Amino acid sequence: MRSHRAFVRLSDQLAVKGFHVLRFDYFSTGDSAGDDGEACLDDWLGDIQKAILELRDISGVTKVSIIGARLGATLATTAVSSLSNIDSLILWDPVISGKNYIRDITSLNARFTQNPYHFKRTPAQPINELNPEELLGFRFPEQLRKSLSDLDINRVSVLNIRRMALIFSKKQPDHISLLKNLSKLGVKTQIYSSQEQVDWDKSQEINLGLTLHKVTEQMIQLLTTEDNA
Amino acid sequence: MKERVHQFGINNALIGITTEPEEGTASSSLPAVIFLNSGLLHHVGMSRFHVHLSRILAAQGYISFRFDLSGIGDSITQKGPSSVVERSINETREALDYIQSSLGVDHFVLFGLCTGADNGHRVAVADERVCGTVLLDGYTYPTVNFVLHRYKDKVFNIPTWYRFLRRCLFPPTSNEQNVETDSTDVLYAWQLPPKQLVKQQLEQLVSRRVQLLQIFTGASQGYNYQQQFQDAFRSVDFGTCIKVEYFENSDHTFTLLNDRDALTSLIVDWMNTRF
Repeated sequence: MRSHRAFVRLSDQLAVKGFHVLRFDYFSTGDSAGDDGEACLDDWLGDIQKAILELRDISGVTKVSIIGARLGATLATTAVSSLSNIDSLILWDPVISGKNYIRDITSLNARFTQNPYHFKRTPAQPINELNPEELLGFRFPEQLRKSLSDLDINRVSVLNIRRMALIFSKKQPDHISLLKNLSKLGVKTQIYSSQEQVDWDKSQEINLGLTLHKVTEQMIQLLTTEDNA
Repeated sequence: MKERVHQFGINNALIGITTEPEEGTASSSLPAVIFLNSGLLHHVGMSRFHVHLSRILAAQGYISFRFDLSGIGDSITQKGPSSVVERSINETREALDYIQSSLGVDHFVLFGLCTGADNGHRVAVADERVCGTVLLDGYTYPTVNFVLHRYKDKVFNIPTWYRFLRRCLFPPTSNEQNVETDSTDVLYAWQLPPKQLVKQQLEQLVSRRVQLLQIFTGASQGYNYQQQFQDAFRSVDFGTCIKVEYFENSDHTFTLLNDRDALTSLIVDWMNTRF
């Protein structure tokens, strides 16, 4: 939700440059069908494949590039491993380890409910009154948490794509090992610092939309230039 | 239930989605519900609440429309001489025009949170097709009891006295005074209209029998007890037109599921009893 407007602007600017672009919401998110918490990981991986087929069908293109942010970037990398004719992946602040992601948003959830900036009384509700499936206002059933915890970009073993670009807001110790693992798959992989820093884990900002110009321009640059050395 | 995407307005710059009841179950006597943007959040609403509530209301026979003002969500940025406030009012009225002409509904309930509540109030005043408003953390004014509630906890709180005395004895330097900033300050500057103006506007709405559901949260800096809204506008004869609800333990955007469930029940019950 936070990145919605950034992706709208990115899509519009890519369309001006001649790209066909498809944005979509996964099942049980955004405007798509399904209630909160109804989806499973396989649904979302399948949605990516359906989106690619739909884009090819309505535009006639054969070669597709994918841009993903955060968990979307992780899902894209996982889904693409079983697809062909994907040219490139651009991953914006990807979740590298699903296990760490679940740990981090669980921690963020606890900080959020105890933050007097948001709630008059803290903790916001006694632990035993909170919905046990809830994280940051959304339902994350146990099965979904488990399957997300099993995701890890480092464990992707096949990537039939030409190139990959990773854009990070902050340097992390695991970036170097990630770069090495992805390079072993024979994919030209490069890491870039984001030209706009996003703190995805700030509990004061979890409901704020992002208006990002420089990072969208950075992505356009990556898609429109052949050689980004 | 059926959902459709629409482009409308000048240059088809605005995007919205209707949620309509199953074929043959829509009631022509019911108003359509229009969901307004809050800040920069797009039409799905806080924690997807607009989507959730639209679908529940569709099951009750209501048509809903969630859309984006220009420059927000999926709608195109439009530049012109109008102020942001004027554009918000005009574009919301364009949304009403569009739903009226395409679906034949001619009366509306506006739903808005924060800036959406401000816009909802202004459009309700400007457009007689609005028969109801559901406004969350909208305009509010202090009362004597507000002041008492605000400071009663601090009077008996020793750390508060310690900080107060410390500030008196050791005033912060100019650098220290600028240390604490809220990242949201630079994103939106909110202006409260004069109370007398809002009072007149409320009287105008009541004279049109507009149904008002005013909801406030504990996160609101300007609201801290259930009866505050009625106390602030004691001279307005609301009759049966108003219902006020104070979710003291909720955050501003009803993030927690329990709070959103309670909010949903409140709104659905209110809609079904008022229309």
